[in-house]
Amino acid sequence: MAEARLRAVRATYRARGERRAGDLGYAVYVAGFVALVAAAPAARALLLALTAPDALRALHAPQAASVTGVVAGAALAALAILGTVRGPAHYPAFVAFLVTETDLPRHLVLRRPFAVSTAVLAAGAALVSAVPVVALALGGQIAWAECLPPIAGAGAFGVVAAVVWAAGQRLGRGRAWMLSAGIAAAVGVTGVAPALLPATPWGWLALLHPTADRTESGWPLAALCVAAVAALVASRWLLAGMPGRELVQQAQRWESAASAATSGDPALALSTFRALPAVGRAWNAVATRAPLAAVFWRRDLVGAARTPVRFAGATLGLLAAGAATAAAASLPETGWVLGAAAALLAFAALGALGDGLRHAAEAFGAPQLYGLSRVSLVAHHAAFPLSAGLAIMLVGAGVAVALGSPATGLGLAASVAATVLLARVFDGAKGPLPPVLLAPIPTPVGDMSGAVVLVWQVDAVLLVAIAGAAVLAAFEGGGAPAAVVVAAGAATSILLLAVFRYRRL
Amino acid sequence: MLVQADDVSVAVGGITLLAPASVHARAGEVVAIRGGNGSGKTTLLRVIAGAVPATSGSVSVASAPVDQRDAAFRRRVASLIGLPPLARNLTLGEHLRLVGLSWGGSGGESYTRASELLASLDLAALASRFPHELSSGQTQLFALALTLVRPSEVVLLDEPEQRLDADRLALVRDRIRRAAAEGCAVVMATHSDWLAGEVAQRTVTLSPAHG
Repeated sequence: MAEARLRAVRATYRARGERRAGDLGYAVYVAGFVALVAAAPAARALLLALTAPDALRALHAPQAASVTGVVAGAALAALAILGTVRGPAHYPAFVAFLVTETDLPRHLVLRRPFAVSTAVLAAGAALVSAVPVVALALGGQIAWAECLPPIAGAGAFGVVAAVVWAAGQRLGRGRAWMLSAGIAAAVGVTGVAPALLPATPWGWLALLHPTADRTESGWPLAALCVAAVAALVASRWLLAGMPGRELVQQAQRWESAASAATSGDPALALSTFRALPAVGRAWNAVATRAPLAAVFWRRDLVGAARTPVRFAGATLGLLAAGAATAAAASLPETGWVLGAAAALLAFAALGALGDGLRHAAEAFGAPQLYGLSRVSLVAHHAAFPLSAGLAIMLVGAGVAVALGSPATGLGLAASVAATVLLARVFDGAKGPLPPVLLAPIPTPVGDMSGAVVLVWQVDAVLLVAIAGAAVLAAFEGGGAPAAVVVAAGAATSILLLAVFRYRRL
Repeated sequence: MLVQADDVSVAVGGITLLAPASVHARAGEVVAIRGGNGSGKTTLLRVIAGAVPATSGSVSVASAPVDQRDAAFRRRVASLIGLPPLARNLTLGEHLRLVGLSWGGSGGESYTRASELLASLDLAALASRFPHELSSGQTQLFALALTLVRPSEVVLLDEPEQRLDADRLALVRDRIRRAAAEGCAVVMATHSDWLAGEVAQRTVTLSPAHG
């Protein structure tokens, strides 16, 4: 009875006017085209990089299994949090409202979107796990048949992960953070005591990674499959208890963000999800007896600390980025890949320290509020993220150097930090999409204006990735002097771009 | 004359946003701009604030052309035209103190001015709230406080009565009177007959801006 009602609702919704018969065909066409033009060359380049001798050694080393376990465990912890923002049981806002306001059983109405999300996550996990093992097979380190258990295991792990994701969605912000912290603590324990790995799903996945000294292959895969089935059984209970109002609010936030992003306002889209201050209202952010530069520095520090989880995440991200940059100095052929990844991580983490810069950019578009010029306001708000970001990245790099990376890693981390921090300043003055970018650009493969808009939206991210890769590549090719020259060039270029952009606001 | 706008009009793409209008305001004077929806009240304030160029006519503040790039102009003119940018991680009290400091006020002055403004607008109990914790009426009052906390000679207010109950509207009236008593020229667009009657020495009524 309930299923028949649900089918009728879905049939009516599917027949709505806004859908076109060719929509699905066009989506398939675009996906195929992107896969052919962008994804395939990128995958090929990645596999070529991973089949370099030092990369193969790293992938086949016993430590690779531990890294796999830690990454998988961390992904579970992150998914529990993601569930509070965007869970696997996700409908368009109106449909979420429609189906959760009825007396239809929740597990029934949410079963389909959950199944789709689970399938996508499982396939994605299998795909990601395939990259290193296929590289190992291409490099002759393992037989092709040995690829299957880790890929299948990752698929099963993806199912478990989807249920953790749903748990985060059901629990809501406070309890989901506790779940995430619990998982993170357990991952930390297994990192310190690897003997406990066989007791955890991420440990089973780690045991499936084809390292040179691997001894297990059968039972961890079976354990993951059993865990996946058990998780699916538990998902019925999770879906049945999903809070309807929260589902609708999540869907509304995503629709607002999607609307802002597609209309060329990524800053507004991201602000939809930025945490609001929860603690520290009694902390004095504005000291009235200090030089103005110190007032703004403290104001931005206290402001950032008022979203403590976000602040802690940013600190950890910057520490990891600093350590990764220093570690990249010891990879002779693939250091640039790690350099680019570290720069991107630093850029993302620094966002949590740069609220003042965003506020300064907003103030530009409004009647004069502060008694400072534009340049002065930006400079005052840049001081905290620049100094704190640099200091935290250097601490991370220092840890990596203490653990055996070359001391030049400190200089590389400082260089990458400087370019990333300037890119944040550059990104702070983005403003609305310039209409000229919407002009059609006819090419033999279609209108490329969409690509131009996309590049504009992620320009700072691209600059950061290129700068991070270039600094490390220069270090590999010409040592520290070359890296310094490239970093200085990148920093100067980004600074000029930032000045140009702020002047146009 | 602090504010002098003569036969100012604004047209964009052949559409008239503001039919020719004139406004004059002296130091210590409150001028109300009245007119129906779409008559160009906000546009006129934007012109005086230097945010929108006039298509015709002349505008000056303190006998100088309006120019947002001019630091002296920015120091003279404070305006509440739409919600000012709010920092989501600062409390109300901190907002006001920071803005005061940025205009060169001493620590003590900024603190005193912020506290006094919050008290006069019945926001003192909310001083440690974040902006997202305010109701729409409280947000409107706080926006007025942010506008008045900085030094200025000209205050431009666009419908300061929005979303306020009668008691709160009386607080706004008192603050506007006080700004004028301190020597500011206040130009205020309003739909409130009561507020205009209470504070304005003169009223300028805009004709509809059709086509």
